Amino acid sequence: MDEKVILVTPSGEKVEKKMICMFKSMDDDRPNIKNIPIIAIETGSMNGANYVLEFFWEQNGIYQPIDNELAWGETKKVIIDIINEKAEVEGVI
Amino acid sequence: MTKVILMNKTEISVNEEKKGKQIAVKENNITSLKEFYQNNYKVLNQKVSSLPKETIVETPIINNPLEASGEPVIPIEPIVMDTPSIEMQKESIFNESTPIITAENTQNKEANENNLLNETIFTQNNQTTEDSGNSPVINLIPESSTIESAQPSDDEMDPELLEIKLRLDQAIIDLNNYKKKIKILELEVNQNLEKSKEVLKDTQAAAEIMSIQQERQKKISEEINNQ
Repeated sequence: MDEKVILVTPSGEKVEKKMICMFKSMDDDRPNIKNIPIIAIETGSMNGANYVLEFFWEQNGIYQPIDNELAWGETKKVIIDIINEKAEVEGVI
Repeated sequence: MTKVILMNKTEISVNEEKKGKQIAVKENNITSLKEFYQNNYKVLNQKVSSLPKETIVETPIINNPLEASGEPVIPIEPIVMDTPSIEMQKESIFNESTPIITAENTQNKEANENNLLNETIFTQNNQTTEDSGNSPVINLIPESSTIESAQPSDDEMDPELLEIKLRLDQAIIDLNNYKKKIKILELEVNQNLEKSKEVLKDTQAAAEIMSIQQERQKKISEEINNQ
């Protein structure tokens, strides 16, 4: 069963999306994203044979695009580690 | 290993309709991501929900001589730590090149605690991002449910105090060693003094003998000259 999440815009519009993964990195060597919620959403679009994932991170209670290049680099590394089964889950919220 | 905490929200607020950062993922990789999230979330959620929601800390029973009924109660024996004698401690410290016993124990204890945290399931109370009423927040802190001893062992002692204690013990040992060395040196000095006295006596005796012999020779030569 696919996980769903509802995105709510400031105008009140709600859009349902498929959530691929929602996590917080707890590594000290990734300080730009440590303990910050990040959500990976399936956009539904394809890039060739690949699925396009969209990432948001929480800033001041609101989820927004990851505009920090360092944070984005660290996020991609976490995703790669998860795909390569090099991630350890410490807990669930 | 990358460490993550999985989250689950049914509704999140986004600031604008802008698209988030995007990457393209192969089908098998997106499957891996999904499975990682869903499987781990379900498993951990089941474990979390099966754990008791409240932790019970047992308090030590204080010796009451009488029960509520008035009958005497068998007193509970105080818990005594089996600490080694001071002499054994000194010996163990003396045999070590550096006082690292407690440091090792502290490091081992910390490593064990870290391993315990990694293996145990816990949740964090994310008060900054949780919407009220959306999902239950469970605070679970793994605690030891028994209190083993009221007396602090070396492992529980303040590290600074323990270091001072170790230095003091080492200083006492060094002092005793120096005292022993001084005694040995004193003995040697006395022995050498005695030997010197004997040599002096021998020398004096030899000098006397020589002088006597010289006098005899002198007399003999005088007698020969007189003849």
